[in-house]
Amino acid sequence: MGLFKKLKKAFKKVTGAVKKVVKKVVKGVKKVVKKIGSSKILKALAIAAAVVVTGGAALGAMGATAASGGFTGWMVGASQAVTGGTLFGTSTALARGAGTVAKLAASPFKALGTGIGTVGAKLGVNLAPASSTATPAQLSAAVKTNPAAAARASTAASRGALNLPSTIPGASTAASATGTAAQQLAATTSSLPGATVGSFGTSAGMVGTVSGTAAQQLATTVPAALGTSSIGTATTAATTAAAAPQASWFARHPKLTEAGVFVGKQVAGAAISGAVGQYIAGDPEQQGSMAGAAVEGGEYLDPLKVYAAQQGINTDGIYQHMMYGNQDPSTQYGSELFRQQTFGVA
Amino acid sequence: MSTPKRQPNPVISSSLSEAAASSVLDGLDAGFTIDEIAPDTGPKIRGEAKFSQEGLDNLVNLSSKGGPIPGQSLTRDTEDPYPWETPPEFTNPREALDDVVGSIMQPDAMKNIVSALAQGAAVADLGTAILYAKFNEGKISPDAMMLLAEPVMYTIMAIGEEANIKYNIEGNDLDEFDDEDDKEDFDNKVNEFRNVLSDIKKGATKNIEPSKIDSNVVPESILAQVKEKGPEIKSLLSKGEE
Repeated sequence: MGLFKKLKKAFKKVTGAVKKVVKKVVKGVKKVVKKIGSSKILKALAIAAAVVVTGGAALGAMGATAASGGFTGWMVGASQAVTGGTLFGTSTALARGAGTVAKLAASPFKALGTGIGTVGAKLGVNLAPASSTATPAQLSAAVKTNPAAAARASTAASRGALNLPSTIPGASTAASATGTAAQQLAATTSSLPGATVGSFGTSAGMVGTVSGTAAQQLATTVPAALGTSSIGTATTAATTAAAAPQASWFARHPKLTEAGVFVGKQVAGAAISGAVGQYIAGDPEQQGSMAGAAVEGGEYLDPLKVYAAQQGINTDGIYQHMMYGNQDPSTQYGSELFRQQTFGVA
Repeated sequence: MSTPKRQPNPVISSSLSEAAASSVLDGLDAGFTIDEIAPDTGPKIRGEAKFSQEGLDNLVNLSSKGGPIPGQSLTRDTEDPYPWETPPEFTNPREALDDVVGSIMQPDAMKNIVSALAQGAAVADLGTAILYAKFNEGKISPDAMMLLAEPVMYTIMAIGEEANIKYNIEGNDLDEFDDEDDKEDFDNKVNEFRNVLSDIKKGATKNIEPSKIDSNVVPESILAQVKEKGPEIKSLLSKGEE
């Protein structure tokens, strides 16, 4: 027998199978719906098959009313809601888009990270470390403009190193010192001015010349600079009043504090549970990765597994087989076990 | 339009017919009516196949030309193969299905398909022709052709349904399903008649008592026999002794 005769025979078999199924469905539907014509069921079957094959695009192309909602919309919409991925036997952009949405939902932290980057770029905010391409002249100019610019420029110059001017007004030799910062400081201390023009005459009482802890030094130097009596000479009552411990802001606003603590707990809890969920879900990109930390059993997939075993199908390579339905077995099989429904294998 | 009670249940099948059947039953179970799934669009155009002498003559002419000589394909220059002798363009049936359905969904192609269905062409014949043409162009392999037969046939059926045509699936089987409906109706009526007859019989025999029977209607000698034999008397319709 030639190839074409064989093909013709095979086609007859397929046609016979289609008619057989139509008859079977007619009987099945008649059990559910009484007094119904076979042609009506045939129509329903043809519409459902067209939706499965093309994801509803066929009926939409024909301008059918069903494509805009109703049964067709229900079938197509469910595919997007449950899994994403492709409808069987097709790879419509719609279904692919749905798959992406599902994957993003499965990895919220990943999506969040990307989202922040994207939003930052849109707003013109550069979250990357500042570059050090500014010239010294530009930096010096920036230092002169305002304190914020000076601070920014000083950190930008060499990532953290202060970019102070090389000479201080009144200093004689500042740039000649070499060695480490400490050595340079020691060498240039003598060249520092005795007193800066316009400063208070507090040189004698400057920090460093007064002994004791920092608090003690400040207690001496600050009143001296301000021209007031020192804390040590104040009256006992005043000292007592000043020394009386003032209630903290949190103590003075207990309700606000409570609310703040509550919100903080909620946010932290949500963040932690999200992070744990992401950890459990694993890497969705990894093919065949087991979701749900392998805790949730695979009993939901048993019908699919049994079916695949009967048909001699390796579930890892299920895409290599022509299969039809309203779900994507690989998506169901792979990363979203916790969202799966029980499969009905026809 | 009714609102479905739930989302569709996931269905997977290696057969499109089975998947479609499950979807329809699932839709009915979810709360859709059959009219919502397959809206009524008025009386259908009957795509009845009509005998054409011209068509038959053409077929006879083609057949009389004969087929290729055995081994003829092996004599062709290997440098200039036929498209179907080269590796197919689509090795993945899914991609092939996209291509074939894409071709069918072109407005011109759809117009021709609707016209053919309305004139009585069978869905199976159209599907075969489309797939064979794709094979001839070297787009698909014979295996892919067989795999795509079912979805292509259903796509053509969907076009026919949208065009409101009562089409043939194979040969001239336009009224095959309706005939089955009629047969089923007939069987149902026969069963109903039998049930009614049985009820009448049961009701009638229950009310008959020999003491109430008028002696003018049935002779007394027969009534005496009836009383004597009682339950031994069997109906004419009863099952005989084996």
